[in-house]
Amino acid sequence: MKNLGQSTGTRELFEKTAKIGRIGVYELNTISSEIYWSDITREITEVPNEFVPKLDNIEFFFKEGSCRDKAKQAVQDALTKGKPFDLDMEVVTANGNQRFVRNIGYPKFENGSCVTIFGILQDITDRKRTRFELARKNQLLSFAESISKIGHWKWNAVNGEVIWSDSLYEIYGHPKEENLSYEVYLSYIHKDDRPCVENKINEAIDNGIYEDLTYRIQLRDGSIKTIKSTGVVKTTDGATLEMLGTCQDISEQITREQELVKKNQQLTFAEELAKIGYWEWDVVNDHLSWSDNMYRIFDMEVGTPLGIENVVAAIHPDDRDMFRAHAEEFIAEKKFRKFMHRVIYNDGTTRTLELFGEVIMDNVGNVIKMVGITQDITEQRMSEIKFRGLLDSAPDTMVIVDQKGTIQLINKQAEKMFGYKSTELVNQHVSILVPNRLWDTMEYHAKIFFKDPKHTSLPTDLDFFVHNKSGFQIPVQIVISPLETSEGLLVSIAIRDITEQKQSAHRILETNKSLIASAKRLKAQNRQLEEFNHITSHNLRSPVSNLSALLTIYKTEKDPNIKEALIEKMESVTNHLTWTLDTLVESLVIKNKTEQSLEKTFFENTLQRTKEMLAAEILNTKAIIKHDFSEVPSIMYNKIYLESIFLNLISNSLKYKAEDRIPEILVKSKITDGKTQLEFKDNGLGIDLNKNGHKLFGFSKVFHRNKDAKGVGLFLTKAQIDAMGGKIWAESEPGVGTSFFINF
Amino acid sequence: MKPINVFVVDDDDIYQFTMGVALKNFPEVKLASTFSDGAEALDYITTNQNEPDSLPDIIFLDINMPVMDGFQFMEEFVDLLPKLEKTIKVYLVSSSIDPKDLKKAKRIDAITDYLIKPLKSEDIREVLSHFD
Repeated sequence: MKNLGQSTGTRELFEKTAKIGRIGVYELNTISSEIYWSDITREITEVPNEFVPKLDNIEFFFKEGSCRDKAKQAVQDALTKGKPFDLDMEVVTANGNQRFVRNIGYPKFENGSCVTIFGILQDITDRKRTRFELARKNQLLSFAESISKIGHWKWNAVNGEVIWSDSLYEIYGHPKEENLSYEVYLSYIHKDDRPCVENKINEAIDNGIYEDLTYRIQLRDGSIKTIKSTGVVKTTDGATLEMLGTCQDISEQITREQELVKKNQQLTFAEELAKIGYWEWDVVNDHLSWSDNMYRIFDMEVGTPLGIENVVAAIHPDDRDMFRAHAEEFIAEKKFRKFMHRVIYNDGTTRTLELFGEVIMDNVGNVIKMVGITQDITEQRMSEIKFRGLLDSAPDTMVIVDQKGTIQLINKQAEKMFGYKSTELVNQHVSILVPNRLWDTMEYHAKIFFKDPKHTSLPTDLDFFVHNKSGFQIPVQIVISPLETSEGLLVSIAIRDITEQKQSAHRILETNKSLIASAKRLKAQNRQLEEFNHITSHNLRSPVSNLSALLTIYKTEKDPNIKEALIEKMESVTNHLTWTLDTLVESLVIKNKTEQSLEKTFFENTLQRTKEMLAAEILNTKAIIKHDFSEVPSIMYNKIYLESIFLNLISNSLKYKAEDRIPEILVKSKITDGKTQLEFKDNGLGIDLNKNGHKLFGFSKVFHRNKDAKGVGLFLTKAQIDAMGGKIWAESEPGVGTSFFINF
Repeated sequence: MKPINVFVVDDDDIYQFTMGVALKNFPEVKLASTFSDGAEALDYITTNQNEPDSLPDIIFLDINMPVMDGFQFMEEFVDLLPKLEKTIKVYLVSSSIDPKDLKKAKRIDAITDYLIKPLKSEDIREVLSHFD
């Protein structure tokens, strides 16, 4: 230090000052290469006391790199060219700390060469750091401003100077190089908003209060932004000095807000149109939030605070318990099911609402919330009720099914016809109503229908049946029609019970049948009457007329012998008359005997008895009587009639045998056309049926000059067979033989 | 007065007898023959068709007879008539008052009249009166 050659007083003062200002001093003697460092210098560099600075060890304190090179260069320039230096540099202390220092050096020249460099070292670390911090904060602010589209401004009311932050330039799209002024600022404001803004600013100047401003600006490129401006006014003694504040571009926010409003409006509109309201029920705190339209649906003032009981109070009294029960059930079952209830409006009208929703649970599964929508379905419900009414008033059973045949709806008549409740049938397949044997028929007609769905009556002769719950089958006539609905094609099936029609038809048929039978019976009776008429007119009158004639002769006859003969003849006529009357009475008895006793009679037995009765004739005629009862051995018949039939026909065959041959008779039973038939075939005289067929079974008709012929046998036989509902006819060839056929 | 030949065709022997007696009371009746059925009468007529004197002037024909009744007889007799050289009047005589029989008789031209038994003397006189 002594080499410096300066007074201790000055140096002390300097050192003191340097100490307060944290300024270190150093001196480099170029001749002796000695370096002097003051205490502050040592403090700044944090070197130990014993450290001796030398030319070759001090450069390491300068931060390596450009800083160190710059320091070296400066020292070199000072030494060689006598150039002083003033450098801010970074220093790395002996302890490794970084510091900013100001290094000022003055070279001192003697005889053209540098003898010493005197310098100071000032620790500027704190100052430097503050400056850095400020710069960084400014940068951050500018960044934040730019991101949030905020800029700040300052307006000096005294000299009119306007200062904008960078981001404000950006917001306004104002070139930085152009001047700014209040007028320039105003020029950017949308002309519609400009008067208002000017007013406000003038008010701020007058009142010293800057109210928030929102206005539009129009950029030079024509685009429009919305700006929100805030500010404060600085005054001195009531006079405005300056105003400063921020401007924020809130265009996006506004757009978003507008969009939100629009969407909300649309939603509200949609809600109103669809008569839907949105609700949320905080079950735990019993708090309800409703959309505006929900209030409208309930005819309540929008915004009325709500708990579940407020809602219940608005509900139709008959539905309240059901509503509560549903709410409790949903909480217990943790599941929402749609349901309907009614509300009564203040004007007394009733509306029907339907609720859809879901339950929200906490992490342990307790229901904490329900959300959903409520729709006013009064109109739908009304049309549904109308449709139902229409359906129920239909006279026929109506079943409405979808295209798969699943039952959607049935009417009251259907419940009655099938004995099922509506709930039992809805969602069941329609085949539940149809007997299995008719499923194919049903499917066939369904297929035809779906090929071209139109009003279709199934054929009336289809003989279709449905069966009810207890399995009872009902004959029906079916008409199917397409039913276009919003849910697709449905099919309405009209089913008409035609049991009565069937019964009527059956009755008519039966009546017809019995009429035919009656007609037949009447005809038969008529014929019998005619026959009887004929018998009385002829067979009874002729003996009477004979008697009358004989009496006339008797009266005029004188010869007693002849008179005697006449009396004999009269007796004979009387006997004949008696026999005729007896036979007629017998035939009447047969005809009127409606209750004949039926018993199982074997043909063979009957034939046997007949043979016994005709034993003499058979013996005399040497007749051969054969039989074949193998096909039908017996019959349920009146035994006496059957014997009489056998006796009459066989005795006829014997009576009217051909003279030239031995009579052969075959009796055979068989089934023809489902009826028991008996044939008596002989080889006798035969009858010309062309001539005599109509008289064959008449009373007292004889066809042969036979003494025994009375013409009664076949008459009575026919009477007996007729009485039993049978039929007798003959086939014959004169000279060959006759066959009698009897259908029982 | 022309002698009249009369045939009575009837299976009723009592009737044959009474007619015989009745006809005897009419002197104009030269001959009264009886037949028991239509076939017998027809056989006779066919056999004697060429001998007009053997043929009848009047036939009293019964309807109901075995083998060949009155109507059956008429069918054959109508065929035979044109061959005969004699006018033969046929009277259908029956105890039947059945209108059906009457109708049927009226349809046959060869039948002169339908008479109902018993025939009284007046009836026979009336018939005979047409022959003079």
